[in-house]
Amino acid sequence: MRTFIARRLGVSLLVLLTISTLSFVLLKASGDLAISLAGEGSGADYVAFLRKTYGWDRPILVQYADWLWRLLRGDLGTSFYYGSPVLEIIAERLPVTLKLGAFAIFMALGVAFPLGSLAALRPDGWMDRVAMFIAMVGQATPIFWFSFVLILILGLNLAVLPISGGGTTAHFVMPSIALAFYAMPAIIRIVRGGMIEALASDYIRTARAKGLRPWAVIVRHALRNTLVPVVAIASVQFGFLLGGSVVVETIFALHGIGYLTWEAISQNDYPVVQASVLVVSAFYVVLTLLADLLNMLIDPRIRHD
Amino acid sequence: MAILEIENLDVRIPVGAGVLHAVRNISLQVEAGQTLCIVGESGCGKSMSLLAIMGLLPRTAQRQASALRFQGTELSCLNARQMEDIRGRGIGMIFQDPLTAFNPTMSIGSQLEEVHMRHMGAGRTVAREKAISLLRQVGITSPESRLAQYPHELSGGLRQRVMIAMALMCDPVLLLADEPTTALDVTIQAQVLRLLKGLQQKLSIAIVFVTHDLGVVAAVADRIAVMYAGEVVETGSVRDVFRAPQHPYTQALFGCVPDIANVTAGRLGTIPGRVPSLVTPIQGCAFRERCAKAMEACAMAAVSLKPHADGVFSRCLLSAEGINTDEELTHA
Repeated sequence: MRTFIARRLGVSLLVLLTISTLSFVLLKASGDLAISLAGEGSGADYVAFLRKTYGWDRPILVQYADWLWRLLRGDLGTSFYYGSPVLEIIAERLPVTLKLGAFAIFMALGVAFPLGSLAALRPDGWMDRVAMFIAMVGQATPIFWFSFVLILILGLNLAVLPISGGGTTAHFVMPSIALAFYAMPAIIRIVRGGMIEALASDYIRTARAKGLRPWAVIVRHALRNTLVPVVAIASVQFGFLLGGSVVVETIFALHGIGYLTWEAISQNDYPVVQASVLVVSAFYVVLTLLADLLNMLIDPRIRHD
Repeated sequence: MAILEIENLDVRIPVGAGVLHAVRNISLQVEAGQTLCIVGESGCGKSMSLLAIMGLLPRTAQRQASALRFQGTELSCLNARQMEDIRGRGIGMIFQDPLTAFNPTMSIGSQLEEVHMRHMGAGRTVAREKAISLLRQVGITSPESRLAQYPHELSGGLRQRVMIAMALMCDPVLLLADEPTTALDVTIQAQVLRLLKGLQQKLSIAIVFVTHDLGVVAAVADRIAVMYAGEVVETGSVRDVFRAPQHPYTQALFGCVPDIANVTAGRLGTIPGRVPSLVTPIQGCAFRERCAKAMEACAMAAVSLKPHADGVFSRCLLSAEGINTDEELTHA
């Protein structure tokens, strides 16, 4: 078990290193930063001056080593636009996105678990059809359109929720619903599939032969065995919500990482773009690591690998 | 008193093409302390019969019986909840593959304890003590430490012992064993059979033991019921049936047992032909197309179980006439 964790940690570190390298290389490959920073019609002297100031005239490997070294010390550079350290900007925006993502994933799980399980009890029964219809609609609905529908109904017609901004927890409800609706279909399908497989297995027959009540058979015996794939997909979905909330944060004017990334891209604020990509990727890595550790607790066969 | 009485049990399962008549009109009885072995090929309906008794048939299956009595209680009159109260309590069940029959994500201990806690109304401490004492009875050393282990950490033989212990957690009066030794190697199989036999003598439980292995039958059975194509074709005490099998199918089964004392014949005996489809209705005797002694009369009407000497019953026209052993009667 210790070796498993150690190996898993090692892999995670390697992935993080790869991501950092990629994000550095991609930024360098996107064009001459000095020219785009100087702006149209600037003289060659000014461009050369900028290049020297930011150290972009040095060999690429030196620049990479320098950048990596700063990164390890928590220095993500300085925003071109705000002029303040990128780390500070990210730290200010991150809680908003985390809160949004956490709300959304718990909402998605809260709906998908019962719905998927009920659907699995009688495949092709009416509950199954309802669940599969919801999953299909969730998959087919564009998230921006669904957000507008929510704003129209909950924000304008019923006027029960604030439409824009992030001042109170109420501000998070609609964007969370929008994101949850987007994350839910995959989880419904996984829960349903896992549950159907579990219910057909021999140990369920054993549990029934022991005279256990149906709820005990389903909750104690079947559900536990569907958790492993659900944890795996939920962690990926959560990571996706953190990175993919750009649209939702923009629509609801929530100042999170997604909104920040969108702003930074439109303002050519490269250090911020780079840092946002890094942070979201790092979250992905950490989430999948946590998912693996959680699954070790759920399924002893993984533990004793 | 008969612990289990089955009269005219019928199981039909709708399949794509039609209806699979898996169990056809079988009648069985088991007394306390007695072992009944149900023998037959794969798909002859022996496991289905056990599931029918337990009320664990597939949801689409239809069960009919003129009597299905456990300790005098008619099981077909019970609702789902009452049946749950009997399963695991009065009737314990042992499954064939002990690896897949255990929940892989739960410890041995919690799987044993939950049956006891469900039925006996005592807490986990009592259940744990019962589990430890039963694990010791089935010959498992240091049972306390086994409780924390998971199914995949045990060997096949050990798992089957734990399965037996699990079926005995609530002191059942009837044990249904579905090929409990098929997945085991011969040495472990002998140990498990001895164990079952010993426990039966000590606790005087009735056992219905499903197997396709005549060697196993010889080791454990008091009575035997031979099934073919969903029907019981011969039943009687194991001694009488082994000494003089009446039905041609039973005789053919014995002909397939490898004989170590007589290895001159190079090939294993087989029964020619195939088991008839249970989806299309069977006319006359189900075995007649594979039977060396079939006659025209065999195709005419269904054959009923006919009494023979020593309380043996056989579903064959020949046995009724008492001329079944005469080889001269073989013609189409």
